[in-house]
Amino acid sequence: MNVFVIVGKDDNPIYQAAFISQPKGSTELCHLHQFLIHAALDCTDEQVWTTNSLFLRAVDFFHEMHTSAYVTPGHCRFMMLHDQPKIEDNLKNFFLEAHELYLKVILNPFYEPNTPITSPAFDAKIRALGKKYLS
Amino acid sequence: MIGRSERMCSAACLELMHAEMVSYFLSARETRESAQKEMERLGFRVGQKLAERYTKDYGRITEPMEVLRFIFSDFWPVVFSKPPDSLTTNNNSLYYIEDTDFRWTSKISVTSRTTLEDASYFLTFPCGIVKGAFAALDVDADVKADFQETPSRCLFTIIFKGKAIPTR
Repeated sequence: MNVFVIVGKDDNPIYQAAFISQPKGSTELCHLHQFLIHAALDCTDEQVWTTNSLFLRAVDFFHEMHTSAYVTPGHCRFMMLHDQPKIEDNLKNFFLEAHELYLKVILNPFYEPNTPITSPAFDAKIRALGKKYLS
Repeated sequence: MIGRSERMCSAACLELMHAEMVSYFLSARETRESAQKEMERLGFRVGQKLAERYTKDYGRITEPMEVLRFIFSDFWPVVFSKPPDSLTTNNNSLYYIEDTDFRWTSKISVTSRTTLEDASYFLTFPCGIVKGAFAALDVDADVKADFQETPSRCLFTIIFKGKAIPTR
């Protein structure tokens, strides 16, 4: 179970993708995932200035679910909620490629930064990345 | 690098389009101030996106001075085709970047009818770009530019807002 959320500068969610291998649980689980990710934002903001690397390993931990973060130099946060602590390297590669895709979206002149990303092509590519690195 | 190979843009194309843009805004807006504001706003958005793109492999930038260094040594050469010539300060939150051969304006000719002041509208968009780049990296700075005697020599003044000595 992995949930990927891109959070903008005003703590607004810009994009969300859930890579869930088991059948969909109740909607309560979805709310819990969102809640955990947003709760991890504070921890992320604390850890951001402690390192020069863009990839912050596990920033938060709750009930066997880890949150990892990757913060772009423009302070856009990529958060991943996952339950397997051993996929750090895969996560890093996932985040790097997601960053490239995000940059391509930003360079689109019709896209206003800090607004939700609705491009189906972006969504398809992120899901392909998820299949490649997270399963 | 984004994309399969390094894509270049024709410099002549860029200069001509920039000239058309300045001409369009000066004629389409009622006052010169609103035209300048609009061009600066456009430059701001472009600068934000360019800064995001060029800091991709840079790592975290934690100090405003590092942002300034990034703008001076990495951002400027890529956006304005050549590195700037000098960076000076008055030690009180004012920084000056001088470019003695600013490509975007070096071909403007100044006559008795078209003065340097008229040509200064060509610096609004580049100022916006630099300002947007600072803003994307979380530094609140105002950027103004002037010509030093000829349209090739430009002095960009960067005013860091907030505390006198920028610290995070």
